Amino acid sequence: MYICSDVNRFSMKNSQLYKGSLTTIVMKLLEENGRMYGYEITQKVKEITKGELKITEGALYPALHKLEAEGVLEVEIENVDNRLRKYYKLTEKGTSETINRLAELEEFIKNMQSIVNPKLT
Amino acid sequence: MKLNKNQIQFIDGYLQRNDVIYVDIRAEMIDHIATAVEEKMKVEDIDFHEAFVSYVNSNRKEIFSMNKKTWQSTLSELKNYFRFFLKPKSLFAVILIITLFFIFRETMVYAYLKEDLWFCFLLIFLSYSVLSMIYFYGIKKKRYYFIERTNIVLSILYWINLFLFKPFEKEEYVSDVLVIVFMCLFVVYVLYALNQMNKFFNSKLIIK
Repeated sequence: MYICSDVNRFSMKNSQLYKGSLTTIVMKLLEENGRMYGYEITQKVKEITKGELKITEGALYPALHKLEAEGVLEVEIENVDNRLRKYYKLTEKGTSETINRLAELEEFIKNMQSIVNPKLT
Repeated sequence: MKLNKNQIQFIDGYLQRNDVIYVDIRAEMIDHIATAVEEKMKVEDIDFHEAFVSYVNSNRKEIFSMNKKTWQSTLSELKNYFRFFLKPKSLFAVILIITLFFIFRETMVYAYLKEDLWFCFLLIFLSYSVLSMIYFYGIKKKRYYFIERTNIVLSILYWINLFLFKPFEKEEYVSDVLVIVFMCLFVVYVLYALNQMNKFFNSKLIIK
């Protein structure tokens, strides 16, 4: 289980809904915050969702490395508190990709809403 | 409360003892663990060792999954390599190779090159492997995943070279198309590897 909702911790099926959105979540956070490091991203997601959503290290770092390799993210390395810290930020390509992915996600949520709760639409 | 150098070295040593061999992967893991431990020390008002043991015990599986290499890492490296073909310098190299082929195809230079192509490549592969081993194992005494993952493509090219040009069955005809395709794959790999090296040496990941 890569990314899981604490409320649905025992249901593997529900985590699949979040799994596909991990990179979009990361990109959205970087769009809002400029640059962030791994631990900061996990804590930010926890904070925003009030602990409901927990991104695990085993899912986050491979996703960050993949986005970096694709040219969506770039890295800045700094010496912070006696250790190296790797900051991730969106590239130009990443910024436009974020807009597309968010639009896609919004569309997905809208469609899901129409199926799950047709009265609300 | 921020961790001091000895405490950071303690985390580094712990990861090394647990087979996290690559310096660049370890650097990111150290920062992650150190930040989490610092927060634990602050929130729970405990000392470094207590916070470290507690954090590692409850997050061990997740921490070490950061060091896991899967077939997806290999696939992603191959994808990056093929994506590099679309860069202007790669396209230029491909056009140059094809042009040089048409200029020299009737000459003895090309005939000799074609005959001993497998050996030339083998020599380049072996020289590169030996030199990088001397540098990273002997001089630096450190291994970097960022560098070693580019070798995945090199190993594939090495085996293609041996199988494609069949050095022990020289009488067999070697197609010109195969020679050109392999030359392009190889030259673009060299450009790709240089690009990755350049990125690596310009980053702060190289720890002196």
